Amino acid sequence: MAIDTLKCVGCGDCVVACQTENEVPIGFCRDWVVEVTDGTYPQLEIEIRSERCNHCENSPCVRCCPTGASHYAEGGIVLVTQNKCIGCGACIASCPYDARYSHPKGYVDKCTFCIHRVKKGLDPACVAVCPTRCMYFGDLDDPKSPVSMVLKNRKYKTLIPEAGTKPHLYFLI
Amino acid sequence: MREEIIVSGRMNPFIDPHLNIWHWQIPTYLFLGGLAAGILFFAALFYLQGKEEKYRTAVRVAPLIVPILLVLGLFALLLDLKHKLYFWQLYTTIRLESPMSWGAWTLMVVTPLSFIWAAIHLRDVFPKWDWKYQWLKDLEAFFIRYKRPMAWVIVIFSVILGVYTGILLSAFNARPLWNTSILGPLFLVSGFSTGAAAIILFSKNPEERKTFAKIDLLLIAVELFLIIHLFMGFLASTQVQIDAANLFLGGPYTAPFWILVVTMGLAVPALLEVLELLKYRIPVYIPAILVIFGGLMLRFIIVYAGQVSRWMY
Amino acid sequence: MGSRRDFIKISAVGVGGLAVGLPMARSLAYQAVEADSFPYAEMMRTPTYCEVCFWKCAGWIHKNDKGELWKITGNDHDLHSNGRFCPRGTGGVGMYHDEDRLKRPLMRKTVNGKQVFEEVAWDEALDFIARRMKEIASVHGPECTALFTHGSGGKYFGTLLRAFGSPHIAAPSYAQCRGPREVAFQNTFGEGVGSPERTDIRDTRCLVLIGSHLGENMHNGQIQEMSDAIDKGATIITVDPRYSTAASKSKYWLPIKPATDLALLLAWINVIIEEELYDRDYVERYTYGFEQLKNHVATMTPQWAYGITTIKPEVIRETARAMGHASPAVIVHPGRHVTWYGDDTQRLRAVAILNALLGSWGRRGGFYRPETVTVPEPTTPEYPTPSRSWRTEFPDLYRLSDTVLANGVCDATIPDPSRGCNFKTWIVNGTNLIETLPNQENTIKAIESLELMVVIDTMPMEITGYADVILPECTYLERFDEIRVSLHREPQIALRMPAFKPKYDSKPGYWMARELSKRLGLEAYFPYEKQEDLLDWQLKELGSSLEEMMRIGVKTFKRPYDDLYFAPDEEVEFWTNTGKIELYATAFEMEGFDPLPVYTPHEEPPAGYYRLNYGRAPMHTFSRTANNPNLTDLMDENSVWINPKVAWEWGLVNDQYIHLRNQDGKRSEFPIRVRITERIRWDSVYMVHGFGHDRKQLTRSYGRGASDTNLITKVLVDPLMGGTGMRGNFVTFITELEEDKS
Repeated sequence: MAIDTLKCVGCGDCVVACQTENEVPIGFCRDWVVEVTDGTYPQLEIEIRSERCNHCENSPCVRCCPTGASHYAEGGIVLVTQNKCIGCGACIASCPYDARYSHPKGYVDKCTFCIHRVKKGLDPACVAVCPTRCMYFGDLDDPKSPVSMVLKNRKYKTLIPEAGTKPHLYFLI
Repeated sequence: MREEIIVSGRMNPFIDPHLNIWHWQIPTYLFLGGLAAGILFFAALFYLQGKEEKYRTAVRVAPLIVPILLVLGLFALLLDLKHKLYFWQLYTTIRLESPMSWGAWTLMVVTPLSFIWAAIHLRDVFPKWDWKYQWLKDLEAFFIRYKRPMAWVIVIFSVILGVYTGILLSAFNARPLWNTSILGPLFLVSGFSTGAAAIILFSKNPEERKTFAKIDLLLIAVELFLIIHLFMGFLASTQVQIDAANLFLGGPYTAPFWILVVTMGLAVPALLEVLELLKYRIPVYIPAILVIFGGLMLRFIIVYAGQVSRWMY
Repeated sequence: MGSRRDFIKISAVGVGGLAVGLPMARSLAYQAVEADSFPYAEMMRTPTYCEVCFWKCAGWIHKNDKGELWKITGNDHDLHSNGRFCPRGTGGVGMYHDEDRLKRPLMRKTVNGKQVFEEVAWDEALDFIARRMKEIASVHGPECTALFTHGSGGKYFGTLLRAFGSPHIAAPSYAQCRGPREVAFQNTFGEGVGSPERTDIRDTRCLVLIGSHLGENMHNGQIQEMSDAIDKGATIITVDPRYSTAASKSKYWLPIKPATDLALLLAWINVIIEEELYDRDYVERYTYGFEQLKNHVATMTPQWAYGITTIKPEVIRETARAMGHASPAVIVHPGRHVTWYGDDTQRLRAVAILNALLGSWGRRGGFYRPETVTVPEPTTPEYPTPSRSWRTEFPDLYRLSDTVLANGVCDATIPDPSRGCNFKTWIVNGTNLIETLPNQENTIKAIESLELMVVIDTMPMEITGYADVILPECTYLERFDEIRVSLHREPQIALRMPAFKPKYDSKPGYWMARELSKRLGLEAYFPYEKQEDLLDWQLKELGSSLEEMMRIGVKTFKRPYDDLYFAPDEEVEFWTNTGKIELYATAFEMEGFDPLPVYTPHEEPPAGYYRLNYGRAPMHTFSRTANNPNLTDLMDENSVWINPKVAWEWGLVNDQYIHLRNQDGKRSEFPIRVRITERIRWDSVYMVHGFGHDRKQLTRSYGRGASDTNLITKVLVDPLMGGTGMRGNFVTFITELEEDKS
């Protein structure tokens, strides 16, 4: 997934849409919006990022899961099998992005890239709802997918690349 | 000035405002596991060296409490799980990359062995103990025959038990405070040191106590060295590690760590044991209890402080 | 009914046991009948248009397998939303699920000497309202009844009021919000800007935001188009004392000194005329008054403006040139909430003049010509002619306003010997007047003089605490409403239909209005008993049908008249006195006001005080959504933005809670969290409007954050049309939280 920080206005639509689409309980969120302000008035700059699980290629959460509940699914999407999860919290502690949370029902939950929608050929809920259309989703291996196209033409960054997780969430800057 | 805030109101329970997914259950288990590992290690080691009679408490008496410790520890772990009914999933697979998986299986080996070791030595403390059923008596005899191989297995697995808790925490590179390879050896040495202290507490043999006091002194010295090394490593590392170290060098955990763990849990008992070796009369249980207390505090502080240390925001 | 009206703060349910028992039984009977007859329960997705703000985006309400509310998404063909709802629209599910909703009709009764609200049956409530309306009208005339509305129900209550004989229908969105710009544009171009604004942002090459924080105010379609404009490389110029989100996406951000915008606008006009950056052909062909304008702004140079605004002259010139070079695809955005300092109509006139000079009105990338659909109304008797109206009673007041002013009605409710009549009855629908009208004390004083106050709302907002009767309206997910017509690039209609039957004992506005009409002998004005039949007839008249609209949600028609933009040589007639775009406003001159805007300096904050600026957050709408569970998840309280230098002076730390006190000594009711940020100027503070609720029934929002309306006691009234300027208040900080209330 790629998100254009130059267009994002930080409205939080992605958060609400994800909450209703995936029936995330109130008080929990799978994605969130960060606002970074640099500088001194009036020389200022803002970066707004909509963050979520990065579905890392070298994800510490899959590595540390003792039961294999955290696993790589098709397309490199990282998922949690709810009835294999024992709720030990190791994956939560292992995520440098703090992307996971403990669902009230006991298992660990996080962004799933709306895999139930992706399977039907739709975009994840956050991408589909964003009013500024600043979010792009697709197959990184396909050079014609919206994500590949936009990464070809724009400068981008990932979060904490030095943590070695190889995240798949790119922020266009 | 840099202002970095979450503007969509994220306040996930156990995650915000800072990670607090693990509470007293985990440090309690880590402590009990380390203590059990220490006692078992010394028990098996001295048995294999043929010093069973010389160090009776170490080999025969102290291990009696280990099953209780392990069961309490496992119970604490179970309490910590948030999806308790599915705990058995742990035993459907071995995941070599997950230290927690090793831990689950190690406990699966060590706990029964500790029960067996305790069982065959029950008569040392309860001389009138009688197994009543013949098949139990046969079982006991069987295990006594294989005591040596069992001891070898116990030596190896108790080391794994002692070190894996540290390795488990150090594998979380998301928590800079834990992400150091010193944590494994530190927990191992700490566990053994608390084990030695426990043996001192139970022992009534002055020579045994003296030996273990010397062992404990050595282990404390190693532990202090490792702690200094730990901080040197942090301060020479990246910014997040420096921030993690600063939690203990002026940050909120400074007083608890240096007072409870280093002073009361390591330096003071070491001093007392030196004094004892120099023939001053010190009640023997004081340094032992302090060491055990220090071990418990070390784990509590590391687990709680580690969850505060982070990469982002 | 006595005139003393206590604000009822305690729990709404009355203490009379029997009185509670009976209405409950009756309402259960109501529900039993209706339970079997909700015909749309099987539809997995139903079309609707959102009611959270005024944009009215059309979308779908989705249900999950169990038939429960799942999510709300946009309708791909809808022109307002293009298939994407904003966070409030997506969070509309929270409105339905909110257990703090009004559930049953409530009536003010005195029990044991104390005034409480008691649950009553609909019949009792409606009978009471009708009886009292007739009584009051017989003594004072029907014209003394006023309706305040900011919701879809306003259509039906408006019909009722007109049928009853009163012309006084007020929307706070006029004099408290966009009124000055409507008057300003009407007197320049002959028409107002309209709602949604007819800005062609997606094709613009230069977007000038002066007084608009697009991105924080979530005008759905405009934010989408701004994103398109950014993609196409448009230049954005933002003028704002605060570093808004829009400012962060702008090529030029002008950190202007507050209250000096008019000077900047005049300087821009000066540069554009001076350097001949205006659209010469357009100005010659379509405008009147160019020479007068040129003479007027001759002295208003960038140097002059620099001294007033603190914006450097080079920057003023550079931005004016950017606008000029983008002409005619340039938009000087008129903003929306423009009631600031009392000279707002004149400031918006400058905006209109600037747009006219740049030739953007009626051109691609500027302002397009919107089209709408006229929905036929069923034949009803003629409305009675009121014997008097506010216009006849106050012929000299706000002569340029053509609508009823909410604040005007409010003022005219307070008894005054100089006035022959006062308003006696208020019907309030979908607007929380306590937070909407500035100078809360004035509003409360007016309410206390009323003889009847009926509040129709979905939530127990502050205004309900003063009502005689509270009628629970069901949310937009549970009712039909009038057909939405868009004022947009293409004429389009949208249907709203219920996805669920009304929860608890709430009812749609149509039903309430009709039931009241029956009791007032006015049912001829509501010929259809069921709204479905009315809508079906109307849709069939338009060439569609209810059945079709239920399937497709929106229907677009072809533009019947002109093209979207002026054709190159088109002869265009403007509805002004001269028939041309009036740079020189002849109507203003006739009324004795300045025909060309003149800059007047405004009051500045005294030492130790900071100008109170307020605005929006994209996840909330007014004070309406502060209790919505999904949206409070995103933002559950506001904060006061303070510059780090100021914070250092006062010794404030981040996330500390303080009180604010304004220049009239009014202290904020609740403490507010401090946000120390570089984004705000050192002479002002900023907070998001809509928090600081003091109704305990609003469990999620009670006491969270502070209310800016609380602190707006000085109102700067625009003499032209009565707009209430609200940015003339200054606050200081109180760090001790236990101080006595002043």
